[in-house]
Amino acid sequence: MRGAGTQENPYIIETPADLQAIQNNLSAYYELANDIDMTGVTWTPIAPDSTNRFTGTIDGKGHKILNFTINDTTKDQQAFIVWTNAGATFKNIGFENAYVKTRSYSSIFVARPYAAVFENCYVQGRVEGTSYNAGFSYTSSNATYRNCFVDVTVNGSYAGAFVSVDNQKTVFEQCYSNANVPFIQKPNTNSGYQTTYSYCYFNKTKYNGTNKNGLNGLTDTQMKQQSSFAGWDFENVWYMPENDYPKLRVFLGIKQQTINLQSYINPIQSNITKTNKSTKQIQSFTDNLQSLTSSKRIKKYLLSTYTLPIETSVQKSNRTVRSITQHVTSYINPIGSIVERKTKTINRLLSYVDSIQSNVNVITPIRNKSVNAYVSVIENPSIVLYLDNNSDLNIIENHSTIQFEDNLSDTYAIENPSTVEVI
Amino acid sequence: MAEITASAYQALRNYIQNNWKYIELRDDANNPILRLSPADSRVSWVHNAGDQVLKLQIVVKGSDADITKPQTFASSAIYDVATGGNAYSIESFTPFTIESDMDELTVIHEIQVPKV
Repeated sequence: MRGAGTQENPYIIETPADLQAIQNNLSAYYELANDIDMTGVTWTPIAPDSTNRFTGTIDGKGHKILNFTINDTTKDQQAFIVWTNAGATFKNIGFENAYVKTRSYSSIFVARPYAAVFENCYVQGRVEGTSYNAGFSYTSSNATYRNCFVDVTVNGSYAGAFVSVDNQKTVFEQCYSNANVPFIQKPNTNSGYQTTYSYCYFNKTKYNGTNKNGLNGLTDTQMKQQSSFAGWDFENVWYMPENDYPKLRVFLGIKQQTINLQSYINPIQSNITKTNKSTKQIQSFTDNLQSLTSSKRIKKYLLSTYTLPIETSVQKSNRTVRSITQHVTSYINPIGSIVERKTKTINRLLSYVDSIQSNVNVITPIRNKSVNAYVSVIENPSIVLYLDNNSDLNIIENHSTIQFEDNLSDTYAIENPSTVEVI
Repeated sequence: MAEITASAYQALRNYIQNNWKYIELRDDANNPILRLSPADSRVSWVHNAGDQVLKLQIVVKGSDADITKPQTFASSAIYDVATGGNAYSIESFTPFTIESDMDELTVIHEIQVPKV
């Protein structure tokens, strides 16, 4: 048998011999590679000892076990597998045209499942025996049946479609029975151990049983209508053929595939080429022009004030008759010279009086003769220059003034009171 | 150079969802089989609003009137027009052949804007 019996690499069952070989490893993983036709095969139930139970997994992958047969009325408690324990899992397995005929306590799938899980499985066939026979299981404990159905004929007393007796806490979810016997012959009704149903149905045309919470009877016509099966998944699990009972999709060879395709757009980068085109109004202006004019004043002051020689002349002529010395006094009042200049500039002004000479000649007689002195006009030889101001022509006024100073000097008549005596 | 903003990507996604809404399935010889948009009940956008990945889904069954069995599907293409035009995205996949009425193919064509 191919495979290693692990979850990742299960044993692959391809023949009835491979199927029988499950008894050699009760905890391994198994898968059916194809439908297994058991015609002519004498089956030896797997795990017949309650102390060595099946705890492995069998995934039928939608394949069927065909024509499975046990025909030995000397034995009780016969089935494909007898005992299971926690961990036992059966999924996607179907029995078609199965036939089990024993004395009592027999079924097609698992006779005494404990804590087993059945999912997407079905049993179609016939079970015969004295009593307590059923399609799936003679008696179950803590087992779960999910999305399963039975289409069987069972005889004998206390016969059940799925299960004859529920020892405790058996759970049915989205299951239906199409059988001539009750969905379950003896459900557990003890508090805390009850059998529970969820969206389960039975064909009441074939067996007019009693509805229970979660378990309802449908007529044969209703059994062939999808709308009758509230709470069921007809998209992925179940398929309702025309004028037939619901089928499990996994066994119909229905191909379903979901394909995820991925296209993408790479992140978009933005690139900016910036062209600046600006028109600027340029304003130019000239601040007030300021010109600095250096004024060079060249002034040449030649101020000269002078007083012409003032002469006084006294002449005395005498004839000496007698010799006498006479004192003649001649004097001149002080002569002043004043120079004024109106300017902020302090220049050196020179005012002077030339030497004044007096010469006295005695002219006789001379009496009350006036001696005149005069002062010549004082020249003002000052020079004023005009400088042009080319930026701002200002006329520089020459406020210089020239004053003519009168020579107020008075020349008094010099009297010569001298007397000359002839000696 | 800088990446465009999240709002820009959302605007692109909105545009794509509003325009790139035609999905075409082709056979293994690249011959178009059908081109549908969300106006057909078999096509729908299945992503959530604001998702970075746009998902356009098409579901075809063997029982569809416009499917001639057996029919092999091998690629999917996205268009912005109902007929003609140029494909904006072409993705191939392992060929799947619908042989019976119960066979069903679901193609979810994702467009990542930007790439995840």
